[in-house]
Amino acid sequence: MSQINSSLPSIDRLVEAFQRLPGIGPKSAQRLTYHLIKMKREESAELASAALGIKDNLTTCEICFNISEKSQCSICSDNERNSQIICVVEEPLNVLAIERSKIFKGLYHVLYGVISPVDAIGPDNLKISELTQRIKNNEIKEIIIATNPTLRGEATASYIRDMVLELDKSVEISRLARGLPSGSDIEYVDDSTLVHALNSRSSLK
Amino acid sequence: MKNFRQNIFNTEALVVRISNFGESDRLINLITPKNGLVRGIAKGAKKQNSRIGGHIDLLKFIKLSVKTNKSLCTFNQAETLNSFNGFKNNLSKMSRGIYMGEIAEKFSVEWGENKNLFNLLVQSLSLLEKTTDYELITRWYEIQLLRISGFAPELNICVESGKKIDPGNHLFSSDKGGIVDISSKPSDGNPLIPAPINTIKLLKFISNNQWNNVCKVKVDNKTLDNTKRILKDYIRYTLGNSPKSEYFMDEIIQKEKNRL
Repeated sequence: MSQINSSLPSIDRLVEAFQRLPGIGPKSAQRLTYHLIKMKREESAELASAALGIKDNLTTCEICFNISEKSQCSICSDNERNSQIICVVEEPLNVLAIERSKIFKGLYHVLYGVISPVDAIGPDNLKISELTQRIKNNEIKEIIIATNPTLRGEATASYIRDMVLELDKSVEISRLARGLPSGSDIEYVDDSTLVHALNSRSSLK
Repeated sequence: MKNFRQNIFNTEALVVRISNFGESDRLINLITPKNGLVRGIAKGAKKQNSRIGGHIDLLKFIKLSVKTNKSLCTFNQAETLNSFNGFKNNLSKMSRGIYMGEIAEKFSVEWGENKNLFNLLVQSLSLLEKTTDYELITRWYEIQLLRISGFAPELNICVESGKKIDPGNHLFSSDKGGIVDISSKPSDGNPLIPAPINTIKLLKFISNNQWNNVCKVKVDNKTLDNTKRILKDYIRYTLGNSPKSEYFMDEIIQKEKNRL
C-alpha cells in the first residue's frame, strides 16, 4: 500500500484507505487526506455518513439486479414502462448511461460482467440464468442486447441470443447499432466499426 | 531480447489479453514477432474519442507503436490489420479463437523473439475464420504450437523403452512426452492415455503437414476425440495447469453436439 509514511497513524490509515479506490495512487490519496484535514468536521461527517449509507441502504433489485434502495428498483416498479422489452447491460453504470438518453422506455437486466474465458468468467458467473427465468415467467417480446462492442461483449451477446432462441423463438432479439461516434475522424476509425457503419448506413432522403 | 536503447518501436501484434485499468485506460498483453509477449497500457483507450481504443480488442491483429518504460510499456498509434470479422456472431469460432490466443500467450516469453509462434497464431486465426472444420484446425494448431515451442510429442520412438514404435494401438504418456509401446512395461507416473493406431497416424500427419494438406483429410469423430484427449492432457501437463478458456470452449462444443 502506501509508500509515503507521515508517522501519524490516523493519516496513514486514511491514505491507505483511499488507495484502495480505483484510479487513486499514493499521491492522490495523500492529497485527498490532507484536503479532508482542512474540511469542517460536519463536512467530513457527511462524507463518512454518505459512504456508510451506500453500504447500509443499497441492495440489488430482485428483478433486474440494478442497484436499488428497495427490493424493486424505481425502473422495475414504474408501471408506465414497457415490461415486454428488456435491455441487457453489462454493469449498473450502463443503465445510467442508457437512461441519460431518455429514449428507452423498457426494463433492464444487469449481467454484472461479460463472458471472459481467459479470466475464467463463464455464463455461470453472470446473471444469465436469471434472465432465462425472466423470459420464462413473463411475456417478453424483445430482448435488446447492449453489451459493449468488444469480442467479449459479442461472445456474451451470441451466447444470450442462442439461449433465448432455444427458449422461445418468438422473442425478438436485437443488438445496439454500431457506427461512427459523434466528433470522430474517419481516418482513425478501425475497419470493424467502418464495416458496421457502412452496413447500417441510413438514407438522407 | 529487449533492447533498452530502442525506446520506441513499431511492430505488428496480436492482442491476447485485455483488461480495464483506472478510469479510461486498458491493460493489454500482445504477442509480437520480434519481442514475444509485450505487456503494456493503452492510455485513454476507453474514451469515445480515443484514436487507439477502436483498434484494441481481443484477437485483433494490429500494427502499433510501443514505448518501452522501466515498468509497463505504453501503446500508441494503432492501426487494425485484421479484426477477424468472421468470428463475430459465431460463438464456436470465437471460443476456439480465444483458446488459441490464451495458449499462445502461455507458451510465449516476455521480450523473447518468436516469429514462428506469432505467424502460426495469425495464420490459424485466419484459417479458423474461414473453415468449418473447427476441431481439426484446433488440433493442428495445438500440435504445431507444441512443435514450435520445443514440446513436440515423440510419436516414432517409445518414450519408455527407446525402441521404434510399430504400427498398432499404443499408449500416450504426458509426463514422458510421447507414445509408450503397449508391450513395454510403463514405469510409475501419470496415468497413460489410450492411443489407437488411427489417432497416432493423425497426430503424425497433423504434426508434419501444413493446413492445406491437413484440411483435405477426412477424420472420424472418435479419432478426433482421442486426439483431443491426448493433446489436451499433454498441454495441461506442459503448462502446469489447464488453460482457463478450455472450460468455456468445451461448454460451447457440448451445446453444438446437443443441437445436432
